[in-house]
Amino acid sequence: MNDAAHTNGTVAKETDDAFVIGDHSFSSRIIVGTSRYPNPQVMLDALKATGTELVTVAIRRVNIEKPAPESHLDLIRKGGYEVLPNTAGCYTAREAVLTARLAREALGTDLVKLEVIGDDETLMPDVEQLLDAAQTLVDDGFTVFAYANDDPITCRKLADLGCAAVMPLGSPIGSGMGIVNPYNLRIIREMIEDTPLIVDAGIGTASDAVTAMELGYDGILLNTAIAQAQHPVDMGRAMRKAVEAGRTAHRAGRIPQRLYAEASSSMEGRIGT
Amino acid sequence: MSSSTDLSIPVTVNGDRRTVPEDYPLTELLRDLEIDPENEDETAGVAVALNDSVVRRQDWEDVRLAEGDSVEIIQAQPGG
Repeated sequence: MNDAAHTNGTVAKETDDAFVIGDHSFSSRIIVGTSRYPNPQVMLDALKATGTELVTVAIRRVNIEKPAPESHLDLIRKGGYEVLPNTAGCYTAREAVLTARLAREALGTDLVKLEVIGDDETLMPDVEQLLDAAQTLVDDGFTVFAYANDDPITCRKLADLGCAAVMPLGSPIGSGMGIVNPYNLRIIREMIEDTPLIVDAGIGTASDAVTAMELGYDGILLNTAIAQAQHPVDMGRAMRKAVEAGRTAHRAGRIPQRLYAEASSSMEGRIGT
Repeated sequence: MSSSTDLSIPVTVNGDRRTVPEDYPLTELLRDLEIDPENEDETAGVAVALNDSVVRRQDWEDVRLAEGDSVEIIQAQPGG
């Protein structure tokens, strides 16, 4: 080993590897959604299995006709999780900004997952509205986690205007298609060195989480892959291990890929020569 | 729903039209919706906007509704 800090051949201890976003620091690199679980207890058990510290919630009108029996927020706060409100379902910057401000008032947090979608079939971001909303919320003091297309230019603009984290999609929300364009995600990572990057949307199984982390992403955000798995708690555990494995592999530094073989054993001293 | 009187005014609450007495207090509207504004457990996680501007909790009791006002009352729900 040629590096004093690496004399035992290991990277820095994983406990030193904090996940820092704005003024917030986490030890887990998984952010998990709280929707579509078979029931609230399975949700709590699955969240625990992932090791997450930050979970996302939607902001919706109070149901005037039928108030909820137990508040979703109570359930999450009892579990000790920090809450990341999102603007899911917003189609315009105006809606997203008001939703974020309502969330800040309701939940007492400056964190917001900014999502401004263009249509309800692809749920792809409306870039024009997204950039507009991001600028307003950054100026208003929010810690903005911006859900974005896997487009390097959009992601760079979001980072440049001061988003605390930029979150390109792996594939469409809820599709479970994984990371369909790892090359774009790689370019985005190379272009944006100083802002945390999170793969949001499309993660379907553990190998997708590994890929995201091996690409150098700082974390993942997922929901459906866990909530709709046949065994959500087991999938939560798998995601935890996948993120740890991918992160550690990334920090360990993979070997370059080669088209042709390279023998592991020395050719020297073989018999028959 | 408040009864319609000569002094009733139309407002919109979470997208639904309803009528309330003129100068109706926001806190009364919340009580009509079974949210007790004095009860911190019930209002934890609830926020209110009036005509696209957030009304801070400490200002709820000062708000009186006017004709055509639009009120949004939200809370956290399952989401991803």
